[in-house]
Amino acid sequence: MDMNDFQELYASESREHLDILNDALLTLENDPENMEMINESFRAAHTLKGMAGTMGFERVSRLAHAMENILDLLRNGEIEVNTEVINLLFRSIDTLELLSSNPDEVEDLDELITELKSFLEIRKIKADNEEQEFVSFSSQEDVDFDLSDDELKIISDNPGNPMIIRIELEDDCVFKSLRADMVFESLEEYGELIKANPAIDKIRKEELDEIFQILFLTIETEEIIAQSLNNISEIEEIEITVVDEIEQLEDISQPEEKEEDVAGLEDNKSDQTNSKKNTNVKSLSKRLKANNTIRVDVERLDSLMNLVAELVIKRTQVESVGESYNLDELNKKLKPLSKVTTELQNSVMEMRMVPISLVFNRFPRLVRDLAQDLDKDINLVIEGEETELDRTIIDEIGDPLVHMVRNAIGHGIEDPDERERLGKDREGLIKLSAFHEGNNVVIQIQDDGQGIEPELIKKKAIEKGVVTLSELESMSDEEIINLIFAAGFSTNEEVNDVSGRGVGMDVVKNKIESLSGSVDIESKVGKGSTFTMKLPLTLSIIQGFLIKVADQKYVIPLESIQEIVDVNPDDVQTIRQEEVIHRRGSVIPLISLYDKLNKEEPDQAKQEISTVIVGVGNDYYGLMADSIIGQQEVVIKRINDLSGNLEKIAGGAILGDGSIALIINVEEITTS
Amino acid sequence: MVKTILVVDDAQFMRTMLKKLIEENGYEVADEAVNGQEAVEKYKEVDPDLVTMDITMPKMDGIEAIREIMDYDPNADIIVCSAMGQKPMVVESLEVGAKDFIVKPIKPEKVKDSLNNILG
Repeated sequence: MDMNDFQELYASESREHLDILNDALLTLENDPENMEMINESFRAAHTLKGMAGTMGFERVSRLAHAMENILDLLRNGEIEVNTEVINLLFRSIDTLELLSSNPDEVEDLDELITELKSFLEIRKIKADNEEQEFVSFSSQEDVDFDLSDDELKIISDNPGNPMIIRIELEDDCVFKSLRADMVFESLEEYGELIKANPAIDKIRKEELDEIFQILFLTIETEEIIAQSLNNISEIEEIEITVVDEIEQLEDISQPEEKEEDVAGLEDNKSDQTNSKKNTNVKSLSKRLKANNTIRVDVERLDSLMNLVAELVIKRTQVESVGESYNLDELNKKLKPLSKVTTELQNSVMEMRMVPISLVFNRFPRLVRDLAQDLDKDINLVIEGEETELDRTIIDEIGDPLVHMVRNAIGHGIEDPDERERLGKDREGLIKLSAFHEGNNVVIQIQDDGQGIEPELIKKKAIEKGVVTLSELESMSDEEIINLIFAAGFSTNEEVNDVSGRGVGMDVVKNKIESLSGSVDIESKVGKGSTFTMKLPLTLSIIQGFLIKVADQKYVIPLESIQEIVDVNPDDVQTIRQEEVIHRRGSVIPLISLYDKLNKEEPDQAKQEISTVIVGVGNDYYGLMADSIIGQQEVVIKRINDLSGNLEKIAGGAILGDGSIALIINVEEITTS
Repeated sequence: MVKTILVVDDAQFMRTMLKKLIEENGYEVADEAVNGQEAVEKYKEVDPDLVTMDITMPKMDGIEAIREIMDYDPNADIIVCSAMGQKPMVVESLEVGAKDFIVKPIKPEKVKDSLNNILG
């Protein structure tokens, strides 16, 4: 059997078990009596051990085994949950994770296993210092039965033939004594067991090698006996010798036994007192149900997605033929087809959706560790972890989220004493939440810490040359706070290993924007900050509006469009050298796409200006186009920005007639 | 007729592995169950010729499941899948009616022998 077939399954399932372990330990730390969590973590370690063993991942298996042993003691109440054991188990989980991601980086595995074992040994010896070490027993090839008078009497008084049954077990048989027991049980149906070598009580204590022999008295033939043993697994060989004369049996010698001294281990009673807990991490994460699911490689889904995308393009091409030649019959027949492709596309997209809990699940542990390092009390609340997002996005947002949560703990939440002085709860709150909003998923990180002081940001921004004084004057507090996302800005006084890591918030922002998302901050001094990320539900196919500018087609994503209006040139006013229109009581600046896209503007004045009004944040802008073609579903194709001039373009799309349209990056085009 | 087997294990990995081995040896997987409770229900539902039963599982462990299955069908053939270090549990399983045991990490040869011993 080819183990590679199981590699993927192993990877994803072991990942799940590691998550279970992590969660269970976090809960245990706060609720040491929680038997359910102990059992659950025991099962997870146990399963991991088995899976890794089967795959031949010896290192993972060994470590999981060592963990299992400790969890077993916890389960039996032989040791109690304390910080020492929890930390040891967390370290083990980290190592297990590393073993599956970067096995080469694991250096202290043996050290860790030794530590786990000695932890175990100390407790075990304490609990049961009478337990004996395994004593090896050398089996003898010769038939050696030391028969007592009673035994000889049984043989001579009962009918049947004595026979010596020599059983050889497979050398990798694990519970040899159990196999021997099964042999005994099976034999008892046919006659009497007189004696075994090694002795039966020794066999029961696993004191045997592969070979054992039984002196057996039966009226059955040796064939029948051999057959009765045939159904027992792991037997390598059965050899039956019928004994003709009892005298043969009397000439025997005592089998030799070797005793080994068990080295007494000193009872190193270590401090087991529960140390003060300074973290309280609540995780409401629900686990994915293992039932009714199948696992599919993301790459396969991606390729399916691409195929569906191609299908959509082809469908649109056929549709455009029908339209240009006015083939009513064809158009009619195409309607159901387009329904099917749309549904197909939705189904594939749904398949790519995974709950954000995949990302959120790592936070309880992260927050716990950070809180411990920084001596802060943190209550982490997670909401909406069932919210689904495209797999690609899930894979990408992990790091930015971690960075922001680190920031919130490192800079947002005050020390417990400080918080008390300010009349706040000693325990700081960090809320991680996700929810749907239209075609977007919103992820928020809220803290009730000290907030961001705009004056500090101003000072820093000037120092770093991010803005000029005059620019600052016209900025609102909100805009000022959002300066922390500007390139080259970092509020950190010094780079520490908590929130520093040499990555600024600008990197976070770039990452989010590369996913067609946006991020901003709201902050109130003394009250806390909220980081809000908006991400598209899915990346590959969008609903867009097709417009034409200078004979080139462009797509504006439907989600940014507020409305489409034809503007009479007479209604356009000029305020501070900006062209604006009034619309429902607000002033909307007009943006010339010719200008933004570096096209030469035609001279002739138009009767009506086709204008697409788009919303960016809380502001509206009117994008002026030559003409509006209509709504269309387009498949985004990434464009490699080799020239570095494409920030105003979010991607390309192939249209039904085979022509190419460029997707406008609304945010860039309205702000730059 | 092809003999059918109910595979009981809480780890999908193990179920998949066993399923493959079962099929390679010319048997058929009647159904899969992820805990003891489901095993008992599915046993009644699909009436398999054999059950492979994991021991450590949530909700209801394998030993209890063997007990309940044997109560329902005293002729049930059950192979218990244990891990190293679970000897007492294997003893108990055999006592309550399991016909054989295999030890994880499972070895294809051993699974084959055990299946053939009981079904062959």
